[in-house]
Amino acid sequence: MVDTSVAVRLEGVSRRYDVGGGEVYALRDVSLVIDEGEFVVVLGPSGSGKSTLLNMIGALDLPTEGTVEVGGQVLTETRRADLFAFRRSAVAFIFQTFNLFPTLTALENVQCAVEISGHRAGARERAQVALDRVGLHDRALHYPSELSGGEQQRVAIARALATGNPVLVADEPTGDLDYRTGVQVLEVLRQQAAAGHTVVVVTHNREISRVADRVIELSSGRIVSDGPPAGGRADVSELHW
Amino acid sequence: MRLGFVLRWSLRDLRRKWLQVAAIALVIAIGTGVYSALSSTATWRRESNDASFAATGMYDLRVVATEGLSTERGALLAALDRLPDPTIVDVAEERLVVDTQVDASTADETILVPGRIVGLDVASGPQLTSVWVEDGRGRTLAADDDGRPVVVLERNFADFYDLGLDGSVRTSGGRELEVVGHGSGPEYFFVTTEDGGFFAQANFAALFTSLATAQDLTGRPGQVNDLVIALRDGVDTAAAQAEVERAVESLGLGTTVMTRDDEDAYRLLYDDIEGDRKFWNVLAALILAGAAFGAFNLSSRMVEAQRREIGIAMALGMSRRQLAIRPMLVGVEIAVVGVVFGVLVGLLAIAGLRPVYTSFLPMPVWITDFQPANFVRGAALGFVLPILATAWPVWRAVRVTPVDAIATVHRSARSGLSPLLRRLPWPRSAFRRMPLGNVLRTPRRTILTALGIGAAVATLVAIFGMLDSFVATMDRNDEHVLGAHPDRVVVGLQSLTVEGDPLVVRIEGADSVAMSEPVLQLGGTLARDGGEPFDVLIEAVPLESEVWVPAYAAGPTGRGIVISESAAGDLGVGIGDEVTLTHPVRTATGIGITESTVRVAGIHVSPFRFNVYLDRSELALFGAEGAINQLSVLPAAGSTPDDVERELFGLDGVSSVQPVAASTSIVRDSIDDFTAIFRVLQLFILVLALLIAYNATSINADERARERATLFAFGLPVRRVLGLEVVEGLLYGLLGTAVGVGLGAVIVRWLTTSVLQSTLPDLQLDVAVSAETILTAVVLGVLAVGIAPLLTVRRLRRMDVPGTLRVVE
Repeated sequence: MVDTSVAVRLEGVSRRYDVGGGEVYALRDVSLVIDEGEFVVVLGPSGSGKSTLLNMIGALDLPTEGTVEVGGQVLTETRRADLFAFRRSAVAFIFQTFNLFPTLTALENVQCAVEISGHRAGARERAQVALDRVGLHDRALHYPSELSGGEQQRVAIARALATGNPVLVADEPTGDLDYRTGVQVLEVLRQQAAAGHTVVVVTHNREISRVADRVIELSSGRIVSDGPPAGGRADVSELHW
Repeated sequence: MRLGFVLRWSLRDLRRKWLQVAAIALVIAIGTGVYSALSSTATWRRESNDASFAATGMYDLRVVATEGLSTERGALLAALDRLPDPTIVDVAEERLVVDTQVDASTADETILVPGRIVGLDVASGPQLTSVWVEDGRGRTLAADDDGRPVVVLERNFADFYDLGLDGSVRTSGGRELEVVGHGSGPEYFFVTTEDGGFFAQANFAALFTSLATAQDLTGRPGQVNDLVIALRDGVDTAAAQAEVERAVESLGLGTTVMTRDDEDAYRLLYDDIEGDRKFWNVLAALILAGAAFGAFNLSSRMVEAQRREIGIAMALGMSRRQLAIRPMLVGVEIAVVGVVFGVLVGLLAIAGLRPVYTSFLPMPVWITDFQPANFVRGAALGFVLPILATAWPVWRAVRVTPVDAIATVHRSARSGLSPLLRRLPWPRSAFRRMPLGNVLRTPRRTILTALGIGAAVATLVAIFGMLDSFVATMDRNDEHVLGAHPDRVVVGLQSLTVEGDPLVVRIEGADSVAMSEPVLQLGGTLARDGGEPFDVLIEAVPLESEVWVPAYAAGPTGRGIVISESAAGDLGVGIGDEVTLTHPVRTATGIGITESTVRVAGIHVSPFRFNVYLDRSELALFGAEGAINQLSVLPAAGSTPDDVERELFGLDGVSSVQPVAASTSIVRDSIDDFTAIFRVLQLFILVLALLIAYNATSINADERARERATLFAFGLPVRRVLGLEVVEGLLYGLLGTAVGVGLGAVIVRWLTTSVLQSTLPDLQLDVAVSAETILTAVVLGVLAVGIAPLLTVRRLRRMDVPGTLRVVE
């Protein structure tokens, strides 16, 4: 029976790579449940399996063992063709390396994602609103190569927000941003969670985890801690880095 | 996603990659354009033949009197009134056609050949078998030439000897005739020997003149011996032929009534089309295949470079159909531009091929128009391939997980064959090892690049190698025919005679002749075990002679015939085996045809399958001991072949005197004319190969943009980065050239031993790829590819390093 309040459920998930004749585990026997509307931060050092975990939730990759269920859909039992539809309507991704289309303007990059997610009517206006939310109103017609790293990251965030998909996964969304912009982004992500979207953020910045509802810590592919932030949840304005 | 949005996006892709798109489109254009032109040649030839024969009034029926007989002018025409229905004849004209000897010698060269006076009714015609003279080649006959000593000299003969328009010729009896033009009639568009052999223009001169002049020259005033007839449309030719035969029978001229199909020039011009069509179609398909593979490779790699973007779109949830649209649009753009360019290249190829054909087969009408149907066939492939080529990487990309497609370093993360590098002791510097490392690291990309370059080089080697093969074959023919005495002269006799005949004795004793040997030349066929026979030319010569002997590939041992390597191959025989020779034989009542089982005594090296030799001691086989219709002679010390010609040509009973060097020269000239088409193709292939090679390298360099930016970020100067890429390019070039030369050689072998074998069964081509061809391939494949990165120096200098490092390419 599907529990409708559960946004993400991982059971016994492992991801193994065959490298140079040997096996390397990026994730090992990970089980967790994330509820709808939760703001979760996944913490861990480089190589701990954070991005792999995010790729599993976003259906960019599939586990070698275990099951992944997002929005009630068991991804490990879903046909490849249906995974396309899943990504279109269930998740929105914010990549660490932005992954913008170089021949589309900032506005078009966002508009493109909106249209892909099925909101063809008013896609341009919706994209414009998303760019406004991340403070890029005046950079809408610039190409990625004409934007700074921080601006490109904000376009990537606007692109994810504009789809309106219920699960938002972000890989180091503030990594390239200055403090002020980073705070703005976190504020936006918090608002998304408050609006009922599930937000999963991967970062190695422990300070950011203070604004989360829940912090999951990974090490060597295993969950080593899972719970509310130490010292309780802080307001975005209280963060310092 | 809206189509308009995708289209706009795709147009931006096009703007960004326009140079590559244009270059790939040009590759397709060369393939489709050359394909359409080459595959049109059969249609051109058929339509041109039809139009030329119509323009010059080729006859439907021809009445020929037995040699030496003639009748009063008007008698042949009057005979047509005896036809059951005289209205079946549309036009009929009488002619006087008489064999002669022609002296067309110039100040520099002795030219004495057999020939023919063709007397035409110029006063009121001719409407049939008229003489066509091309602009700039003098004039044709006019009404006021009737009775004047002027002639139009057959053009193929004039061309072979490079005769000018200001000269004159002499016929038997020493009559001098002014040459007013070089022209041709429908029976001479293609000059053949008496038995229908090719390459006769070196030893045959037709002289077109007025009927009155012909009568005067031949001492037959008021006489005619030839009637050409055009039938009314719809009349059955075979039935008309029978009726005309009956109508002219009573003239007592021993007449023969021929149809146009009995005319060698006419029949061969049409028969030749089919063999040619097969060969050029194969060649056209080869070029198209080379271009198509190149375009497929390049298009697919161009889209492959967008693989990461495909991964991002997958991550955004774009459906497979949507994913495919954008790259497919690039394919469509390439295809459309390629097809448009293809029309232009096709027209250019036609412009290049037209003069080759008009020179090879001079005819009054040459229709070399653009053939839309052929173009559409080539263009269909040219259109579909880039689309398929772009679909392929999309299909590959959607088969991997998005995370793999997106990964910036997914390729470099895998080491490919780089571990091999560890075993190499040199170069020690990690920096210097980079080019080789790059080549080994990504085997798939390396293979694709090498195959792209290899396709271009293979096509080039195939076309150039075909030329080499023809040249090598002609060299072999020269070696066989010329032997130890390239100054040998062949003296043809007008009729069969025997050794010791006064004429033979006189020739042997001529001042300019040092040595001679008798030859009997006969036609026949060769077969084995009831298999399909093929025509042969049997020469009975002394097989132990100082004048000339065949160049042997094997043997001779014992008695029997000496056949060519290709005949032995086709018959599946070797020395000692028996074959069936069908040949003429002298009987008590005349000449008959019989079959004899003969032993193969030797194999000669002539490339021509039809050459068969046997020793004169075996002439009993033909019931023709001592018979002779040719002599092979060597000039005396201090004499030249010209001296032999001058001394022997005027002798009664001598039909021709021709240096063997002239016969090999005409073969070589004819092959040169044939291969002129290859020379036109060479240009296109060279451009095609350069484009494919450059593109392969250029796309490779594009895929390395981030690596270049990284090297710049580490402070490496442009020249060092270029140096690395040149070395890498050279490595790709070496690999591609090796693949291309190997594949090209295989294609040359296939073309010469399989395709040409079926279209030109009488010619056994050598398989040759010359050092020059390999050098050209190496220069193109290695150097051109190696220096291709230098063409990107401007782009490198202006590279936005941080931007390139930051933005996904």
